[in-house]
Amino acid sequence: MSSTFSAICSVLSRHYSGSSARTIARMAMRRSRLDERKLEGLSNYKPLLRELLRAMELFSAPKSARVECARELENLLSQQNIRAQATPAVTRAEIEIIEERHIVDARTRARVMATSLGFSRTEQVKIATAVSELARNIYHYAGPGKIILEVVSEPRAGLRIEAIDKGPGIADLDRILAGRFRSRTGLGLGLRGCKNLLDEFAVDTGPERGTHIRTCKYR
Amino acid sequence: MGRTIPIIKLRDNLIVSIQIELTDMLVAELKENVAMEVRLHEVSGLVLEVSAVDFLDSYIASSIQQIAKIASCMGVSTILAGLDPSVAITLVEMGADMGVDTALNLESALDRLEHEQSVERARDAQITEMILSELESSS
Repeated sequence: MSSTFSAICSVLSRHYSGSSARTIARMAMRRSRLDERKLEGLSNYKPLLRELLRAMELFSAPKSARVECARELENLLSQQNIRAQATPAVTRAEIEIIEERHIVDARTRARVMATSLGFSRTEQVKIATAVSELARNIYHYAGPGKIILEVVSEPRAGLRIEAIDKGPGIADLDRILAGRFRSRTGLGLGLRGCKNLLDEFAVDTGPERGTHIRTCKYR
Repeated sequence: MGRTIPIIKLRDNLIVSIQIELTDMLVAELKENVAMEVRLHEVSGLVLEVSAVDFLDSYIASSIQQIAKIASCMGVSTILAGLDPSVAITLVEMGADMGVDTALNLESALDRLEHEQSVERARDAQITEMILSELESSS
């Protein structure tokens, strides 16, 4: 068992039974997409803390105990955080999209990067969903291609997402973005939905040059 | 891999609780398995419990829609239960319309299905009574 995980469990077990403590810790880790390895040197602990508090709601304890427990967890995780500053998180990832499982890879990587950037849980879901739509488009219509994820700090902290392929290009882009197109695979809202979920969205497409989509989500 | 999604029969309903990350292959498999199980158990309700699903893109969302449509083609009402708040926000912002009956959680989904079923049973019993009394009066 990792040291951070057992430290979390031991804080929780001061207020809950041992098995409840482990259930709370596991549930929170699953919901914030962490495993015990990733827990070491976690750079942003806020999402995990939030999930721990949410998981604690499922087990009865007096309010004062919950407040106390939350304070102790915050202390523990913020100390871990200081130790973690030395190891920088991944700032750039490139994922080739050739097979279906690469769609899952792309969205998982995006989610991990979004988490480490401190995006809220809902923002993480939006980013993972957008990346999944972009990767899916490449896989279904234009593969092979790639997704590039990059942490940016200008003009604000955020995650840049690019989708690049050498496929046939998107012929009816205007119609798709206006929502007058229904594909056979999805709800016909992959690209348009993606645009709605992100802050920046630019498409360069043509039959000769393939498609290059540049998007960004700011925190 | 050996990962499958269990389909559980409870009284007149099937419960599908999705606890693992959905891949396209898994969703396609689920579609087929649900249809088969509906036929096998002759149930009248289906609950898709998705509280542990923390991600739905348009393809997976439309597959879930299709599962609901397939079930309703077979006379089974389907309820999507326990959609995660972040997932719900994302779906709405994307402009996706699930077009499926939904419930806050598994419990209220089952309550609603059982209510529907009891209303139907009461109506059937009423019709039987009516036929019986007509038969009696004519004889």
